[in-house]
Amino acid sequence: MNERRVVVTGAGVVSPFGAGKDVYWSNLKEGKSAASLITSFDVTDLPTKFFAKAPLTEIDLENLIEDRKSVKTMSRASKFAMIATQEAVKDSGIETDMIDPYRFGTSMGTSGIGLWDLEYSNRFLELVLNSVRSETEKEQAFSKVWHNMMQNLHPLTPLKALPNIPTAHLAIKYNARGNCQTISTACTSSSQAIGEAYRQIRNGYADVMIAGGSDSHTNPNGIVAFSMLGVLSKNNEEYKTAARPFDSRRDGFMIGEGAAVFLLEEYERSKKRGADIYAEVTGYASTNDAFRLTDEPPDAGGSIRAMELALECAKTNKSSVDYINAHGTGTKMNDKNETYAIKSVFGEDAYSIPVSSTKSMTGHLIAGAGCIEFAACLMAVKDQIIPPTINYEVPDDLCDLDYVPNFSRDAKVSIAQTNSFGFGGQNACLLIKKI
Amino acid sequence: MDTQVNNQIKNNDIGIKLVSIISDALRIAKENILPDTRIITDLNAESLDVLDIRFSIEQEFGFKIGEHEIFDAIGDGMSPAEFSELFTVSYLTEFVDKKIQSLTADQ
Repeated sequence: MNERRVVVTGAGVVSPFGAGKDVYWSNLKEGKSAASLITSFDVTDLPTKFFAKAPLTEIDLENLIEDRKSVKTMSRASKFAMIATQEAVKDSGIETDMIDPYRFGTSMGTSGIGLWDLEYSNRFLELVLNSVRSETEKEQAFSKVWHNMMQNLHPLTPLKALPNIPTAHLAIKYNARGNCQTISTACTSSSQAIGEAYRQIRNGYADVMIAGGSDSHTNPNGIVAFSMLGVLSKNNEEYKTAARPFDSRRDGFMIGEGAAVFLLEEYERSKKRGADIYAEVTGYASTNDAFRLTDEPPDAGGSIRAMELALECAKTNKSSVDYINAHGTGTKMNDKNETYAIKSVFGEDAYSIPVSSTKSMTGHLIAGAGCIEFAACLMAVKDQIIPPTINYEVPDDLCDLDYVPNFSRDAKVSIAQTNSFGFGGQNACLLIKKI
Repeated sequence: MDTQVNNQIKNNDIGIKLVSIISDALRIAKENILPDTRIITDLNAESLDVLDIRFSIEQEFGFKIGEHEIFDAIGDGMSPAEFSELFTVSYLTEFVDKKIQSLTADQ
């Protein structure tokens, strides 16, 4: 049996620019920043006071969801996932009730901490404060807090926290009864979710997969947690241009939020129904550094191996890669190591491949990063335009590739690659090809 | 539709509040929630919806409802299917009404 080919026939996006793939892509093409100062909670005592939040209230999101009852068990990230999926399914033109439900699957990259959405955080703090009215009450306070939570928090709240709930909502809505997986590997989650979905179809376990990811950390806990790890930019003065990957002045990333979801389909099946094809998914690999949780190994071995294996999987000649959407977080370490890894893989050719970090515009979507950057690759292949790395002004000696500075570029893009690296030593790489 | 009974609900504060709670929980228009509407059988309420409704009643009326209290109040030894058949809006109204009366009597 010939190896089954896998194509993308639908795409949906919720980005820090708003709902919809067109809004996302037009902002990327124009090199716009989604940065804004945080006003939804008090940041007086926080080191970072900006993020890239989608301009969508919870009510806006609920109004975009077709099955209204399901929203009560959805975190913000889960709502993003549903909205992006609705768009992807419509975009694909597929009739989901014509798919064999047992050969129809779902694969999503998520963080699963929807419990920390703003509403819950505020309610939790309020309960804690109410439970402790005086210094002397502190000792019994904890049991009081747990009791108050049991009595006063909405009983469906815990469902929002489970990582697999966004995926489950998609499976229920579209009657996808086949393989259902949720991958939670920090910043590589959704790249792996797409890659593993590709493998499901290629290896014959499914014909159609809904695949992508979603995340939201634009809440106090997100800012606090990533600040504690020291990875966020603190350049509040210049917040509009603070996300500046590969620039020597970079001081960390900006938190973003959103989702991107795709309809992956077996090629012959998509041809039979006359579907429009964005691109073929040709290569995927994931590796682990097996080194340290937050340091990358000096030889960048894991990320190099992920790229090489993905290229091997795609049977692609290294010199034929037309565009790399870098992980490019904008931390000192990532950008230097990723540049080194790309040069190790591509040799001299590395200097002639455009490499951009769209995180300069959207911020870092964490579990949603890989998928939204995969969307950028699809659009690049579809429109033959490479999105830029914005806010790039001062070169860094250790980052000396063509980062497509500040302006998008018309270019022949037949093969595109996207990299994702994450805490825990996670590495993933995806390759797509124009059909 | 039983207009007489529906008017009873309309004239009943508890009933009005419950219809509103059920409507919110199930995202179903209020006019589709009648006294003899069975919450599980007719409105397709899931177990998590029942949790949701119970919590909203507690918040609205200011008392706690035990985990099995609504179920048990209908009668012992009933199967979940039998319970679903009997669990109507007017039953729930009566349950809340009795609960309020017993709490008032306690005071």
